[in-house]
Amino acid sequence: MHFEKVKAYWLLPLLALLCIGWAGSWEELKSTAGTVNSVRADFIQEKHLAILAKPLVSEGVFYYQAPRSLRWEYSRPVKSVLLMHEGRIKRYVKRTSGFEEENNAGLEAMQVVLDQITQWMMGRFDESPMFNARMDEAGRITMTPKDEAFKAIIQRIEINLAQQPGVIEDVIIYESEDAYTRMRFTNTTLNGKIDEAVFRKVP
Amino acid sequence: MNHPVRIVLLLLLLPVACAQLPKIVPAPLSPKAIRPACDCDLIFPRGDWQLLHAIEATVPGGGKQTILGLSQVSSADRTIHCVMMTLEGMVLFEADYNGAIKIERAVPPFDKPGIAEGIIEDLRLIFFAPELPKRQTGTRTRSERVCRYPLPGGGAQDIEIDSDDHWIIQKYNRRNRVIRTVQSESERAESAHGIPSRITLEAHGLTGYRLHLSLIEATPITNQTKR
Repeated sequence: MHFEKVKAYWLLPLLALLCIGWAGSWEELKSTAGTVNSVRADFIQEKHLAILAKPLVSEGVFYYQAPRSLRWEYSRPVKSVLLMHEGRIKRYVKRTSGFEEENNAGLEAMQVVLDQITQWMMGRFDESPMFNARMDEAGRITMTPKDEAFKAIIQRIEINLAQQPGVIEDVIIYESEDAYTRMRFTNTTLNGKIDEAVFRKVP
Repeated sequence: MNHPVRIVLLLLLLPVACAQLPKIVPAPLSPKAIRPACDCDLIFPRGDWQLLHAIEATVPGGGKQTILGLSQVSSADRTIHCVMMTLEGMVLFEADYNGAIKIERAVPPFDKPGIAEGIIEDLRLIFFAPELPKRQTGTRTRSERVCRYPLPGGGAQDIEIDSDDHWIIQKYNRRNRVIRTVQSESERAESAHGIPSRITLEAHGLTGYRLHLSLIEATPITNQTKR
């Protein structure tokens, strides 16, 4: 599996799962997800590794506007912004001279991600060609890669839905049992107005 | 052999034939020197450290990519545990080094032959004092102190320190050609526990690359912080 595609797929759960709704069944999930047009949320990303006594923490903010606009911004430890808008995908990283665009082939693979997100935004997790999805009674969705090569990268993804419809509490991406990334979302706003410039301009 | 071919061959071989290590001028201890010329290896972190860097990699063709590099290094044991991950937290490469390399995880292209060895070699160059005792010390025009160390597999390593405590490491192969340059860029005040806040590593040659390491966090590893 190509590295850049792997990188792009890694973003899938981070990007799409924020937008799903609370649900007790796939049908209910699809119904709730269909009402979400925009999302804004703060996130805290904890990287847990076997060698770490305490996790590495990153923080940032996430914006989504249906159908295909996205801003995934880290404020620490490295300031960076991933923008997707009108089919264009750009990544900027803050350097001493300011935000600088990073051009690498991996961004092309993000197109694949966008297509997936479109499906996931409609709550069609159980129809994903990449993951087997299972929902349990506690409002947790577990997604397991279908592809064996992909499974070597991501073992499984757990999504814990919040009580509030349309909001999730956290997403845990397991690379192995002792290496995982936990994304906690706070201050989530659904269907608020987001200026288009958010998806085009940096910072 | 016709004349043009001989010229081409001569031109190709000339740099190899002529390459020699830069001269070091033997000098008595400068009264202005803060430390004697024999302490070049004090530029390296001593003890056990966990270092988190933002690494800006510039590859042939000019493409840039920023990743996070987590290194646990022990100067006494000369061991390294290294994790490289995307800003989103995906682990691209994880390996242990304790004289031999054990790869825990490597996703493409980090799984290509030689990549792990190259990463560990670069980390050893940046964080560890040379293994063998120095064979020459002195000064050079741009440097207040210079130490030269032989390398176990042949070649040499120079450590140059200027009056502001900036340092440069030059690694030479057996043919005395520079294959790596490592340079501290930060001021002493910006360094954390003597560990520079910015380091640049340049790999020379056709497949050369450049790494800018910006220190995010330096944490001493103690029994409490060990897992």
